[in-house]
Amino acid sequence: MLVMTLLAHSKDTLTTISDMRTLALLSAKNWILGLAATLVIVQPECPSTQPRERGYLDATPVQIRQRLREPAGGHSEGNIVGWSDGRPHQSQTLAMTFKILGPTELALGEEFEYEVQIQNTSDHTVEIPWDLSQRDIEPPDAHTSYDYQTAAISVIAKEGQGKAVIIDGSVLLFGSPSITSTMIALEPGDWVRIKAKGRDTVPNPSQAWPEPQFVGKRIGGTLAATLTLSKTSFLPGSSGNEKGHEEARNISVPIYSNAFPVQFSF
Amino acid sequence: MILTNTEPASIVPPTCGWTNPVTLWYNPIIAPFQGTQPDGVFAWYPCESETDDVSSSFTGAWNSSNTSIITVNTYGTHSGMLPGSTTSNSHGCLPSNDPHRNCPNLCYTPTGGANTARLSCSPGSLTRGSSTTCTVTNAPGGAVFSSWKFQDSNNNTVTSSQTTSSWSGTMVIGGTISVQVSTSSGNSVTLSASVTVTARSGFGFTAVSATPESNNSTPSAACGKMSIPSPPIPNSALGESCLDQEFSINDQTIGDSGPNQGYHYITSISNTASGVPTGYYYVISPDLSNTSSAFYQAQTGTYNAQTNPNGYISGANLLADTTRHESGTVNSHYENYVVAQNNSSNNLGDLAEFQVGPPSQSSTTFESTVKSTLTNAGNTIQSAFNVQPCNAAYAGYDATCTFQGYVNYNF
Repeated sequence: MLVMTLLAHSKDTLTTISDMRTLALLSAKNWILGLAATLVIVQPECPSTQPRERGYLDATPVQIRQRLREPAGGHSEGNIVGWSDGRPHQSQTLAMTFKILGPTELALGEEFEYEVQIQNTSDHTVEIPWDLSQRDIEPPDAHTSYDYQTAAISVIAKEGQGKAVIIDGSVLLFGSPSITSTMIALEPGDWVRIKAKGRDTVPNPSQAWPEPQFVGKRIGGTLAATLTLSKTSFLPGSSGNEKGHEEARNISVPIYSNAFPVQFSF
Repeated sequence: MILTNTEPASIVPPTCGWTNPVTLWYNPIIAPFQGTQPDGVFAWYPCESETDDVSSSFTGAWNSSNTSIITVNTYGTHSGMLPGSTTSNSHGCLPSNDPHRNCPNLCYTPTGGANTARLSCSPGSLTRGSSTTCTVTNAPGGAVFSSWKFQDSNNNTVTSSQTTSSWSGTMVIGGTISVQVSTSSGNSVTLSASVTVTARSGFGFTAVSATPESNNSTPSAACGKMSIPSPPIPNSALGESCLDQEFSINDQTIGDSGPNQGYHYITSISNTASGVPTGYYYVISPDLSNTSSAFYQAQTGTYNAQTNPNGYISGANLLADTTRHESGTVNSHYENYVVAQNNSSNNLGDLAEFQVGPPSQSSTTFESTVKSTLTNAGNTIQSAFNVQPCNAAYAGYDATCTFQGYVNYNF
């Protein structure tokens, strides 16, 4: 009982000891249970070289604190690069998986919950933004410029052979290396999970969704996610004008998740 | 129902009737252009010191002085035909307040102003980022304007508390604009008008040219070093291309307190980022380009589909085919890129043009959504670019995908 309680409160630790002869042994002998409990208790004090879950963020119930000063405009840059032989154009440091939590048949406008797992697949530590509230990285002085990073997770829907569109459900994580609580470090192999809500509708009112030929139909498709890490500089407006301007630039290649099969009911 | 009392129900003559003022419900009445507004008649009932609705006594006697502006049906419903002002009335008779004379009927013809008011936006169709002004015309004097509202097809709304007869601003998304017009007589109608926003021109990206690069060069930081083994080794590539799609966008949040207040849109897009232009770069093996090289000379052209199907391709054909495979206009990686990027569903410029974010979206979310959209489209172009021409990584096919022989790596 003691062990089960400890395990329930230490999911990342469970992962690290899940290889340690796993739960099958737990039912064998009480003294083994005791040993496992000891290991669970001791393990966090030992530097772990085993990959583990570094964080779990449930973004579904969170009231996001918007920042005080929204810029009047911005400038963003990005690129997409590749070779004709299809080999990866840059070494990717992160990998992402995507899955729907719950029913996989989605009616137009219906909300759904999804989860992404972001894993460090490189051989070095990677820091990513880990704060849902942009307010947390905003300096109190309205006339101060500041830099911050974002991890933008967008949900992409694709109906049959139709084109892919971004649908409602983006998650933006904010962070600033100078505010350590807003960043999370992933050692090689480590991962984080994020649970969020999406909705089967497009945020852009100019975008047709579904495409006319799919209206009134039930059609197979996929949902996937992309992750883009960017660095942004906020430049305050001139004196007396609190509207500022932003300059953003990608700091990693876009990360694409698996395509998760769903049924769309339009 | 069984009546137990055989006496007829008592018919009590009215001890009171109605007197002036006998008025229309609304004076003036406002009917929306191409819409309707009901009207009726009130009369004073002195016995109980109240105003009564006596419209039923005026049914069937409604008139409009100018039916091209406004019409009235049997029941007093006014229909706005054309913007303008006229009068309407009705006629009816009511028992008077004279019990001594057994309340004889007195007849009345209440009359009032009648306006067909219209909300129109000029221009009603405009390119994204242009301004429109929506104005109420032919509202009666003293009318009050309130509850200005814009609503798009996704039910995003913008409201304004202003009380003037017009509302103007930059438009980036079409929808319906409405306003409530009220008179002191209690007539209140909602007028609406639609605004259409069309795409701006000049946003579409044009495919860039294929640029030859020397081996081991770095045409762009994103592509990195483009390297072909020299001399070639068995089955090594003889050509390679890199597609570097760069983009930079400028976005703006509308802050003019107009109908699209708070919406985000893209004001411009470029296929250059931080001074780095989009590029299509390709490299051909220097040993293949050099007609004097041992490798080139080893391509003896002995292939014949019938007599020597295992023979070698000629040096000239291999050079032409490899160059075409990477950069030609037919059956090439370059053609794949051009076709995909000229498809407006993938074209980053075309896509950026109609990216609009609702007011509820933060500018950061809007920007990241747009970047994801563009990146996703760029990735589609990239995937098309990666498709092997003639369904073969090997380049020894001509422009019609006819096999022209094998490469001789023994030289």
